[in-house]
Amino acid sequence: MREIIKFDPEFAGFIEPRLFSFSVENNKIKDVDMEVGYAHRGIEKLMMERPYKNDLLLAERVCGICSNSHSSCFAMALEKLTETEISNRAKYIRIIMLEMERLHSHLLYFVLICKALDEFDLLIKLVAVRERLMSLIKSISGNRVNYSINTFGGVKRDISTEVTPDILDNLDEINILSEKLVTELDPKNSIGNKTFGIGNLTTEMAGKLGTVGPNLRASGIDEDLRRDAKYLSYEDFEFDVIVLNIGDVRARALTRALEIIQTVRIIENALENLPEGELRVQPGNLKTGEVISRIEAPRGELAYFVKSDGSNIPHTIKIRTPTFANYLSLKHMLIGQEVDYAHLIIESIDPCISCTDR
Amino acid sequence: MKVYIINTGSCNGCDIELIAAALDKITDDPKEADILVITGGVNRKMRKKLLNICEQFEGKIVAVGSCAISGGVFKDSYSTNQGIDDIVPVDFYIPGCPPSPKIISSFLEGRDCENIENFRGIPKIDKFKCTGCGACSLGCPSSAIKIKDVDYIRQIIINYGDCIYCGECEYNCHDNAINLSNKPCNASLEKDNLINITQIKLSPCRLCGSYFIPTRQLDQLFEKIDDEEIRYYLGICHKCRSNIDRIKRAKEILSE
Repeated sequence: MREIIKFDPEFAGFIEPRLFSFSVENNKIKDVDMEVGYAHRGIEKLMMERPYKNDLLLAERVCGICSNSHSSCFAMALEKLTETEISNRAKYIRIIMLEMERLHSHLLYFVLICKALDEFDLLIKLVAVRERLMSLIKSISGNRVNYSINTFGGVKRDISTEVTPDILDNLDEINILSEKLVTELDPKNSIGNKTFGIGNLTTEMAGKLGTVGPNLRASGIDEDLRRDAKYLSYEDFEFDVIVLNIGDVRARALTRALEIIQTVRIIENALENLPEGELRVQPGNLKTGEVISRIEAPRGELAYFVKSDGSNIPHTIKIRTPTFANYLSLKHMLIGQEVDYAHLIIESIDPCISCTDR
Repeated sequence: MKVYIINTGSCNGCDIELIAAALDKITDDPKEADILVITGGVNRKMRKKLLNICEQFEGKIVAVGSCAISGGVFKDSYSTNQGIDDIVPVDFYIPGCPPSPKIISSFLEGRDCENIENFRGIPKIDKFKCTGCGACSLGCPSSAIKIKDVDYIRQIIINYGDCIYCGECEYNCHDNAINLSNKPCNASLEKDNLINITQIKLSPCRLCGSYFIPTRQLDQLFEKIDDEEIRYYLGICHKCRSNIDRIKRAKEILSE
């Protein structure tokens, strides 16, 4: 006997609106139907009607969790078009902000995982540490979500030496927390036990479906744009790319927990060696042509395609977001699993619907 | 007090700030909630779902974030609605992009939020520095700053409900007259309370007497320019200026 179970857009387990309908037989998922588009705002169309300067702020509002990745990626695309080389200090400040964003995004991921698993003790600890990180981001940029720190040719705000000890202090705290997360994710402990062996995605399928980011690395494919694409000045920093080859929910969580430690390494290094220099250089003249700019956002590869006809309004803009690439792999993870695990598996790929819908 | 959040197409910014502000007050069931919080400009797909929930709901409805209040930065989009009060009646408006958790938690406790350190709050115009040039209005991505001339006064109208607190006006101002203060914008019962008007005096045209340029902007231009003829033309409005040019050209044609 088949029945249909629905996760509606108003289902309060998720932060974002989306629709899942499962066909269930004997408590096992046989088929999944996924629907997005409940958060569609028509951003790409809006960007093609407004000047570049306003588009930067619009790009920032594609997503509230990885806002800085979007604005950095768009600013980098424009700097490629105008052939502008930004100063080293601006590059380092961008890296610090991008990595701090990765930290708070990964911590939010664990908050949502803990919520799905009803692990409230750990959840409260995670929220407390994340709050401190957010208030540090606020003291650098002036806002907790939309930093508005990027501009064409550099950054608007500087990182003063006064906040540096506070940041380092908080990073130690995060390091301790991520080590705790790693031990909690051990199969002997409760979270590891609950997440072990469900929602499998094999290496072969992950490659075929074009999965990106930590989900791809958890399935055993070694790919990280920070190392491979060489944007900004990531080649100055030493960090390991975490690759696990199990591909279940636990592996995806563990990849992120281990990535937090590497991210902390990058920020500490960048703060130590922050070079002197101007914050902003005057960008050159806009040329006609097409560019693609790619960065490693917290959820994976983010790409902006910009086509310019020489005017101050872009001819075409296309955004390729990481969750768009990851969403299809959900179907393969869900089929054959028990319905009770559905919420956990969906949260485990760290979906961001506002990115996907735009 | 229990809060039920419905995301009607926001960027998640307001939602994660709501989680940070009131984690213990959030409920999964709309029936037991006292407050319904709506985030995001409503798009076509979410409209029906929102109406369904609001029909059954009896408590207060709160619009959080500039997208929910007025469409915010997505105002001209084909997909989103310009503010949710066209669809459902709203009791409270909490402006911000996104509002800080301190603003939300102090609203839930029923008090006003004090200044927040290092925070980009409401934009404030320094009356004694502003020349009324309109650079802030031209650069504003969500057209929150509007300029309107009434008789001999130029009004600079800032709508905190539209504002996305990006700081672009501060960045564009040549006279350092507009600054994003540390003062957050608190929750409001009426949309009209979110509007702030700064008034600046205008100078009259030398020929027709209609008011057209801010006095301080004219003084600033006079400081830079010594040429008497250019100074004379600066004091004449656009209509009169084009008339004079026409007379000049007519004289030239006649003399030929």
